Amino acid sequence: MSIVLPLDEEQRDALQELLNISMGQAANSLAQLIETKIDISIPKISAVTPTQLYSLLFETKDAFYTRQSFLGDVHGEVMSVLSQAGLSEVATLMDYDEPLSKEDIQEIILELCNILAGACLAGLSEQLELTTNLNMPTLFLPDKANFDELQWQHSLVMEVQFVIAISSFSMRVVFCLDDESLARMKDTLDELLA
Amino acid sequence: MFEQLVGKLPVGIGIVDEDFNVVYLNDFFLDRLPHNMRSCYKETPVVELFQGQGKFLKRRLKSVFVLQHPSFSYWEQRPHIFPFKSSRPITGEETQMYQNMEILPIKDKTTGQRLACIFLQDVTAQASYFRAQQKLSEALKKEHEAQRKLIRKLDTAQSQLIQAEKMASTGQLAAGIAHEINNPIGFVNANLNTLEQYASHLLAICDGVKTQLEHFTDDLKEQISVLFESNHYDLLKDDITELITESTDGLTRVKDIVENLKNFSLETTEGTQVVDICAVCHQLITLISAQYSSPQYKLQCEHEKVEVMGNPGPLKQALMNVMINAAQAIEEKGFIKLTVIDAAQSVTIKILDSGCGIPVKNLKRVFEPFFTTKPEGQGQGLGLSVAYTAIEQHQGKISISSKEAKGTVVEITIPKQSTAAASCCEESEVENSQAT
Amino acid sequence: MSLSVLVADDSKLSRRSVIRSLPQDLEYDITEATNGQEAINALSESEFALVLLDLTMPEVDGVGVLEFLHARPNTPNVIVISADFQPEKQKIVMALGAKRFLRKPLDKEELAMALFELGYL
Repeated sequence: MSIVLPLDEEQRDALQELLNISMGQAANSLAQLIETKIDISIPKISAVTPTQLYSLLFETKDAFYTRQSFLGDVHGEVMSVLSQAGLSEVATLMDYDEPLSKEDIQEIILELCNILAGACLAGLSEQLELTTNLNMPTLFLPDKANFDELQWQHSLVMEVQFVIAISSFSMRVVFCLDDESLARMKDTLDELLA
Repeated sequence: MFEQLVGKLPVGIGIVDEDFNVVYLNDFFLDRLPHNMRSCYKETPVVELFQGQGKFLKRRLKSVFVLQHPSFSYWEQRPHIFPFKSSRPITGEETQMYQNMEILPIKDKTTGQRLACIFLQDVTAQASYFRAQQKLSEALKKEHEAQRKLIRKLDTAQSQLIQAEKMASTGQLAAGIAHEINNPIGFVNANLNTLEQYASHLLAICDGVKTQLEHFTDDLKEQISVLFESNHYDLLKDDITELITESTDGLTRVKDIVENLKNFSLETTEGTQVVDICAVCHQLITLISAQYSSPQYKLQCEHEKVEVMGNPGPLKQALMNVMINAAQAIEEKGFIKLTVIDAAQSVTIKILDSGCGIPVKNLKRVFEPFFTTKPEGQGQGLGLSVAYTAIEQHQGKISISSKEAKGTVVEITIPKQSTAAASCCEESEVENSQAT
Repeated sequence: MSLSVLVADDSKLSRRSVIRSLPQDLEYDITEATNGQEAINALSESEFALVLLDLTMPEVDGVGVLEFLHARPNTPNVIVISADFQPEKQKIVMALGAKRFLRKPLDKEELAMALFELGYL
């Protein structure tokens, strides 16, 4: 089952480009901090049902998951999926000492999410001239049953992927917007396109 | 006014510059500084003022200055960034303060200088509560797990008991039936033999009369011919032999069944002796392949000889029955593989076939006496029951697993030194036996 | 005479913003490509004075286009306009013969400056 994207082609294109720019900024931020090259994907924009969102998150095998919400002109949640593979190399780049404790790993995951998701959202908001504040990320484990019980019908998701070139580490960031925020963002996009 | 407010806020607020030197600390931080430092904390590197997690704090501050993006830290991962005591050093359960920290990039409005603002929250109460909860939940989880294990054990024990009960009662029943049927079969068989002889005598007489017919008078000839015809002598003569042969065959079958039932109840008198499982397997393959030629047979023995103490009759019968099932499961092409695994205390025989497999719903019932999926008259449904009882008598295990259209594996494990192998089946220990 | 320019970017918004950012003092003959492969096709078919090139594109990315041009003689001037401006990426791009590297979102002044330095203005 495919759902009609609640954006027209121009809006989608614009949003994709803005995301692309935000990702560039996010990747550059992290690259600066850990002094290594980061590859970025072409952002994907789609509308999903709760079940589809669940499978989207679980495309990566053996992963860590975090979520954080953002408030302000637009509201929503950011979910990040981080591969377990390559994480220890990234930890070394982030100046952590081996061996990593469970707490170290959690801290690294949260920090990576904070940096990448945060920078991405900040970039997007800035370009759209919207104000958003991202809350602290928390670890979570998506549960299929919970997703099946979610109240919403479908949600706009924006998905971006970062890959750290020298390790096998990859991270996907999925932005979800609520309906009201989607309407606001569409208006803003239209202003931009006018 | 705001300065006072910030000073008194119940969270730690500290501001550092790009060299990580302290610009401002509110009362929350100041109250926790050593007394002599309180007046001269400004322009001091923050990591000097608060030792312990210096490396981490520096890293986070650097990240905030470079990225101009807030940074968070939670007590779960890093409980004590600043070396502060718990706010209840006397009555509290925790000695050190649990902290959540947030660092925000800020800018001095007048000078444009980049600064970082550290917020520190005392979450000791939360953390302490959370940890207590966690301990509780862990204890509950353990208990729950233990209970689940117990329930599983009980379940298995129960199904084993039911199975054993079934086998035992059917075994007794079978023995009883076998005994009861044996007597009548004895005299029916004897009578039938006599009847066969009598019949042949009678036929001989009649045939004698027929050949002497020309010597009789016409009248007599006529009368005798009418007698032969009215009694359908030709038909009768053909049929009587056939009837008797059929009855004898039928009786033989009944005898077979009774024999099997007796096997099933294992009222065999052979004693315990050394049985070479490898030799038995060789023998079986020779026997079975003569009858069922389409499968390929393979035998894999670790050693040339693998000996157990056991009752050769029932053991052979058990293996034979399993093998026959395997052979019959293969219609055209396929293989049957026997593997004999020689362990220290026991021997395991795996009989694997690439045949049609057993549907899940039937798998549970295969050891039940008289359970069969063969058309009526073609199987008694006793093969695996007999095998089960025989293996149980040897204090062994027999288990079966199967996948439809893929094949079946029957695994039989018998201890090398079975203590009760020679004694009768009744009330034997069922602890090790298991039927799937 | 107008300047023949190839604008290669998968985003319409971005192409529009690039075209809008071109200084008004010159006349342009603009061709648009929506991915790297289209850009390569256009470059094989006609001559361009200037290529304004995005890096993150489907089919063939910007680096692929630069590699294609790198192997040919008489290449046009390439200005890379990309959201991915990590130093490492800039190094790769410059090594493949790009003349300038500009960040997205594109700054009008920066583009004008680049065109001036390359002698168009």
